[in-house]
Order: sequence, then structure tokens, then C-alpha cells
Amino acid sequence: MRVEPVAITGMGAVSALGHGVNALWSGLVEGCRPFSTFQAAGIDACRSVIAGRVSLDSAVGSGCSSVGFAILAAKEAVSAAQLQYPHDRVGVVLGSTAMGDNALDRVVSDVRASSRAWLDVNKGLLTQGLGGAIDIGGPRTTINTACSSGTCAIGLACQQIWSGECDAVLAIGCDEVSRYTFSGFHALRALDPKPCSPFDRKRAGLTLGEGAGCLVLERLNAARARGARVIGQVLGFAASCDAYHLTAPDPTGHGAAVAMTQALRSAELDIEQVGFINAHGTGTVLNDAAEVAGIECCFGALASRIPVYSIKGNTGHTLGAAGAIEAIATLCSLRHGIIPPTAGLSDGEFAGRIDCVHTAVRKTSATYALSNSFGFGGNNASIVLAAPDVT
Amino acid sequence: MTAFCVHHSVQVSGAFILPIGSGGAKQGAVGVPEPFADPSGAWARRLDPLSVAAIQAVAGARQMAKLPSSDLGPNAREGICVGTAYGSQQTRLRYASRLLSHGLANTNPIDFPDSVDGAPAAHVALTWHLMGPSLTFLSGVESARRALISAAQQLLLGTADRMHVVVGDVYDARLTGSQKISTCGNAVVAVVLERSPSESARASSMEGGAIELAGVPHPTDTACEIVDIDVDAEASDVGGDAQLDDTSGVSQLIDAWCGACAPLNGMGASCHAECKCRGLRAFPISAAGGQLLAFLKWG
Repeated sequence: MRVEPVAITGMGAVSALGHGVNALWSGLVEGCRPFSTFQAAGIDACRSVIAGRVSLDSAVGSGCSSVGFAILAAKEAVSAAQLQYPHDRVGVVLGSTAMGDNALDRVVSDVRASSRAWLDVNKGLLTQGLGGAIDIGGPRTTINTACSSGTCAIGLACQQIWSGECDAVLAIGCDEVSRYTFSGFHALRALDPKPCSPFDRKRAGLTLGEGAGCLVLERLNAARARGARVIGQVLGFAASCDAYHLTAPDPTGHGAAVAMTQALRSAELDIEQVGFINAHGTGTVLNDAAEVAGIECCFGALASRIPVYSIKGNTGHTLGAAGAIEAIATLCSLRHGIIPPTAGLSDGEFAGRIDCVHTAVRKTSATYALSNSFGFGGNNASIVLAAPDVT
Repeated sequence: MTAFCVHHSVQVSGAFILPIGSGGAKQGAVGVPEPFADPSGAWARRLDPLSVAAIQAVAGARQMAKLPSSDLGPNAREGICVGTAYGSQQTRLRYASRLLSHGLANTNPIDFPDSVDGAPAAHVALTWHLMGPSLTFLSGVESARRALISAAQQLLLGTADRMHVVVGDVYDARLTGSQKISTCGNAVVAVVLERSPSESARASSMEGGAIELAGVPHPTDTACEIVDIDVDAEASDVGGDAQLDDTSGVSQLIDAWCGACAPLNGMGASCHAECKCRGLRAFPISAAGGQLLAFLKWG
């Protein structure tokens, strides 16, 4: 079913590459890999000690890093969008998987933990606090679909616009590196001791990252009517589940292909129209192989000719923020006509099966692109993004 | 104001209310079909209490909807939406406790993915091989409404033919102790939503016939203003115990339950201005969302 295009009129990003969309984009094009040692007690016993940390000059005004990142990204995006809607007609959908985890220590170390500690680990309330900080008067929704949360936040924000619930929605993905997530991925043996190398033959796992991405979404017609600068469009979204394993992806890529196929169907696009794919591309052995299988399942013989790239070799895997940050990267690619190289990739394992961009930037004239996100629980999500003037 | 808005409807073909005690689902909960009746069975081993309750409630709702209790193989046309305030809190706390006591490099790899708040949805999807959307909302009492609306919209968008909705929380004793939350009347509720008339016809075992959730805004309507799900008693042709009160609108019920935080801090009417919920409308009691379904007197 074709849905009305949704305009993107503001973007904001915070990542290891810096504060702001420009810092993100220039870091990707220049191939920066600003990973640093994660300072935490016991870190030396872990398989990896590095992460893509956000470096901020000023306090972000919140006890929760994720919320602080989200506030900074949202302020940048709102500033660009210059929204003119009634206060209560602008909502926020926030996707996160680890937000508040750093406060868990306080809860478990004190059997009589204060009410405040419990509130600080509640994602719904953290989103409410975020909404207050950036003065959002409409619905404040929190979603957790693990590492596809950021992409799902964008999709659900579109649904709130399509349904008429809101005139504009801030779709935010955010997450922080914490002892909690670091130990978890270590326990799963999913961390690469070196900076990750998506789709490479010698890839050995992911590198954690943190940050936030925010996109301001509104009806395309309304955005044009008020003279807003349209940065790009969301044409389609779909989510699916592998229903295969809690952590391992389905090696056939079937679930991922369902998300990609349905997202394209909702956008009423043919596979030939997709100019490139921003892959989930974590750098784990299983994820990258399953994603390639999913791309082949969706695109058939065309799979080997569509440029694919991953930015996780630059930002690290930012978990719930990844989908939002990567949507911004995708929109920048459409806008500048440049696909950044997949950092860390030198010996592609899937050469001949997919066309993975690496070594240097590649020019593109694409007007449509797909961005994938996958996560624990077999969660898959894909969005179709387009240049500002396609419809 | 928008003058015109076409509302569509989806069918509730099954529903189940699972009573929750202080430690999770009560043993021998009436109506949970095999093999899920016993929450201490092998199928529930190591799962978070909310995941266990979600599976039991969905099993009950599917039974009412006359759907198979076991996995029939991959199904890309069925999905799940979960609404919860605290998600997999027991596993999250267990994992965090071990992290604190054993250090960064000695945590439990099994507990980590189960501690993610989306795990209950994932376990339901794994149990019935649901390959459609799997979404988890964490917005306090609003979670239930979000889960319902999102599930209905998946049907109306055509991304799924059948959606399961699970709402509720299984509170950890540390949470109920510190915030004086009573678990009395707590429940995890599951419903099965369908769009196809043939599917709703199958669901004739539901007391009073299938209930229709009307007033769901169609995702492609461009002029919709109203987004509350209203239960349309006339359209559903229900009677007897299933008769619905005029005040059963979701928003009204949520408003009533928003007052639930007042007893926790003794602030009464001034609660939202001063209490620890920071004046926020969504206090973390999504079991209240479950109660709104209980209000409909299903089952």
C-alpha cells in the first residue's frame, strides 16, 4: 500500500565523529576511525577495550548520556527545521536499547534503591524528560527493538504523521556505551579487538559506539506549503522478525529480505530503482553474512550491482542510535552524490555477491536508497529514503 | 479542526488476562493451554518473568481465537506489539547484579540478550514463528495504547494479517518495595487482532462474538485528527457480560489510571505538579494498560 511521502526538514547528529551533521559527514568521507579506550574497571580482561565515544566540550544537561546526546541532536534538527506547528501537534518517537543502563548500578547495589534510581532506568520516563527538555508538547513515544530501534523510530514517526496524530515528529535514536553493553557483547564474543571491518574476510566482531541521530519529519505537502527546506523524503518502512534465534540472525537472510521487500513495496519502488544500500554491516561474522544473503534474496541477480556500504567502521555500532545516524548518512549521500567507503574493509569476503564500496568514495546519481537495521530478537527494519525533489 | 476522517476497524478475535502475583504469573492460571500452563515448565527455563507471562497470555488469546497453539512454521504475515513500562526488569537486574559482583568480563551471555526490553516480544515471535513486525513500546501507561494503535495500523497498512498485542508488567520486588506499588489486580493481557472478515468469523468462540476496535485512523488518511481507539459496541453486536460501557474509551481510562501514582506518594490531586513522576503524564504502571483491556470484560 502506497503511503504519502514524509518530508525530512531537519537533521541532527552526535557521534564519535563529532557534534553535528557536518562533522558526521566529513568524518565518513575522510574515513575517520576515532576509536578510543573505554575506561572502566575490569576492561583489561575483555576481548576488546575500544569504543567510539562521543567527546563533548560542554555538559549536556542530563544525568543520562543517551538523553544528553539526544537533546543535542534534537536541538540541531529543530533549529534547521524551523517548525511552525501548534505545540501539541509535534511529537517525539525515541528508539533506544541501552538508555539508562548506567543507572542500574545504583539500583542493584542498594536494596533500598531510591525512587529516583528507578525512574532513571525507565526508558519511558527518560523520553518524557527529553521531551520536556526540548519542549515537545505532543506524544512522547519510546520504542525498543534492540539495534533496529533507530530505524523503527523513524518508521513509527511516519505512521504517527500518516494517521494524523501529529503534524511533525522528531524521530530519535540514541544510546550510550556503558559497562552493561560492553560486558554483554564481550560475553557473547561479539567484540572485535581491533576497529571493526564490516564485510571483510577477516572481520572478527563489532566495535561499540554511542551517540544520537534526530530527523524532523512532517507531511511533504505541508512542508512545501510553509516553505520549509526539504532535505529528503521517507517513502517506505517495514519491520520484520527472523523468529529464528534470540541473538543469531537467520543465515538465510529471509527475515531481513522480508523487511527490505516490504519497505520497497510500501514505497512502490522496483528493485532497479534503488541506488545504493546503507547496510547494517556490524562486522560480526554472522550478521554480515546474513545481511548479504538477505540482499540477495530481495534483489536477486541485481544484488551484485547495487553499491552497499556500512558506516560502523567509522562510528562504531551505536545500537539504538544506529538507524537514525545511518539514515542521516544515507540522506547526505543522496544530497552530495557521494557514497563513503566502508572503513576497515580491505579484503571483501562477499565480492561478486554484493558491490561493497571501500577504499575510496564513490560518486552516485541515485535518488532512492535503502537503509537497513537489525537487532537482537531477530528484529529487522528497513526504510526507503529519497532525494528531496523526487515527488 | 478536521471535519472529515474515515475510521476503519480491526477485529479482536481473542483476548486473555493473566493474573500476575508478586513473583510472576500465578501457578495454574486458569485457561492457559498446554504446553504453557505451567510457568515453571522447561519451556520457560531462564526466561524473564515478563516473557513467560507474555507467552502464556498469547497462548490463551490464541486459544480463544481458535488459532493453533503450536508453531506451524514461518509466518511472515503475523506479528506482535508489546506495551510495557519496565520490560525485562528481573533479567536486567540479575545481569546488572552479576556485572557488579563478578566484573565486566564475567557476565552471563544468556542473560544479556534476555535483558533487552524487546525480549518478551522476541520470545513470543520465536514460539509461534511470527515473522511480521515485532515492536516493543516503553511509554508507561501509554504503552498499551501505543501497542494497540501500532498493531492495528500494521493491519491497515497491510504489513500483517494478524497482530498479537501484549501489555503489562511483572514487577520486581525491589521496585514494588521502593515505590510502594501494589501488585494487587496486576495482569498481563494479550489480544489477537485481525482484519480479515473470514478470520473474525472463525473467532466465534469469543463470548458475545468478535469485538470490533473501531475508530482506528487509517494510516493513509490524510485528514485524520482523532486517534483514540474507541470500542464500538454497536458494531460488534456484543451482549451480556461483553456489553461495553460508554466510558470505555481508551483515553478516558488512561486518564483515570494516570491518577494511580497519587496513592504512591500521598500527593493526591497535586501529584502531577509535584511528585516524583516529574509532572509527567506517563507514570510507569503499564499494567494499567492491561486493566483497560480487563475493563472490557473479556473471557
